[in-house]
Amino acid sequence: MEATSDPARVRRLAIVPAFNEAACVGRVIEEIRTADPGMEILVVDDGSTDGTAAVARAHGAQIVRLPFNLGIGGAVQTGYRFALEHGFDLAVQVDGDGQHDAEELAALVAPVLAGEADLAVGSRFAGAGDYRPPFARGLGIRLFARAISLIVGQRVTDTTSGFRAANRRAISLFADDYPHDYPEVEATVMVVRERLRLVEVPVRMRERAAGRSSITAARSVYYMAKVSVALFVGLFREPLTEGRA
Amino acid sequence: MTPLRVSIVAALVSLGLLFVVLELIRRRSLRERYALLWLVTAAVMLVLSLWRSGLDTLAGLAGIAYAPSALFAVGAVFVVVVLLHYSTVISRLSDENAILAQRVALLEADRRGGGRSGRAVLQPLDAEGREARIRGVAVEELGGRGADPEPVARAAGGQLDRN
Repeated sequence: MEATSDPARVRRLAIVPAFNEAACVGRVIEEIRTADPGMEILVVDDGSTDGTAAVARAHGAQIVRLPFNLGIGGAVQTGYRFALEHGFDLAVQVDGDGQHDAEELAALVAPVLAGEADLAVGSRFAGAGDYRPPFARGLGIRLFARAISLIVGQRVTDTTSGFRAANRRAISLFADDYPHDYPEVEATVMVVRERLRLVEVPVRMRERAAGRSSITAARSVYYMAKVSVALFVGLFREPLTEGRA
Repeated sequence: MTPLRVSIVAALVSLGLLFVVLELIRRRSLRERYALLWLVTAAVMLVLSLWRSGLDTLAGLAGIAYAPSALFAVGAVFVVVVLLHYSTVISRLSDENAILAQRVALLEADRRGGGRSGRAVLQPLDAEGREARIRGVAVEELGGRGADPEPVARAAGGQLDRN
């Protein structure tokens, strides 16, 4: 994307991964539309059983329905594949549960539109808002933020944020390879290893309107272990751009 | 020296495994590709149970006082290798499964949404796809907008919309 191109002519897609979010997804769509009427909206229905897709369709979003639940990583990657195949210049990830505030969209996409970054990540801990996670989660988030900052050689404060804006380069990277299960931490490392430019944008986030976080207490042990292993092994992985058919 | 009985029983068990694996291949319940490790396991166990002095030497080298334990250990190692191999196979399968699910979902969306977002990647449809498209269009004409969002899932007897 050219830094000089007219923002209004940049083809923009909002990727909204949603798993059983019928209660929230309609509002999310409307908020995105209000914030940026020129942005196309794609809801990736990750095998919902509660009519999420029907609600999204009623609100005029485009829909991709996965035949069964792939998890957030697989759903988001589907969105990036869509963005790549349909020639979008910019893709924004907005969670279907309403925790990402569409009013922050403009701030999030700004560095990508300006050509200053390949991926912009909305961070809850970079200044804006007053989000205070529960103690254990906060500890985990800080721990990972430290580790990631060390690994990528750049200060990263919010490694679990799924509120992101990607340009064409980042879109094609994610379309090609995106981590599974709890993908955000690994994706952050991947982006930097592939020499894409990453910036964090301070944003406010809301408490989720309905539904529950995918990370429950019981799963957080698995989360920590899985992400740690993935990070450690990832350090010894060849970059995608080389040695891959 | 390994007791004769141990050798006989071990050889019979190995032969049994060999036979079962070969039979599974013959019935096409097991692909050669995944049977190879089992065949090697059975063959090695068979050789070690029949070649008794060899087993003793092996046990001596490994510092195993009771030779039949060496047989046991070799078997365990092979089982671990087979299991590890299966874990890699499962990982690959689940990756491919996810990719297939994504492709199906994207193709369905392309077919349903048509050129709504402009530069859709058009791919030649096979006969089945063309048929599904015709069916989808027909239903759409009858039922109006988005009447039949999942013809493929339905045609495949898959999940239905529970709305």
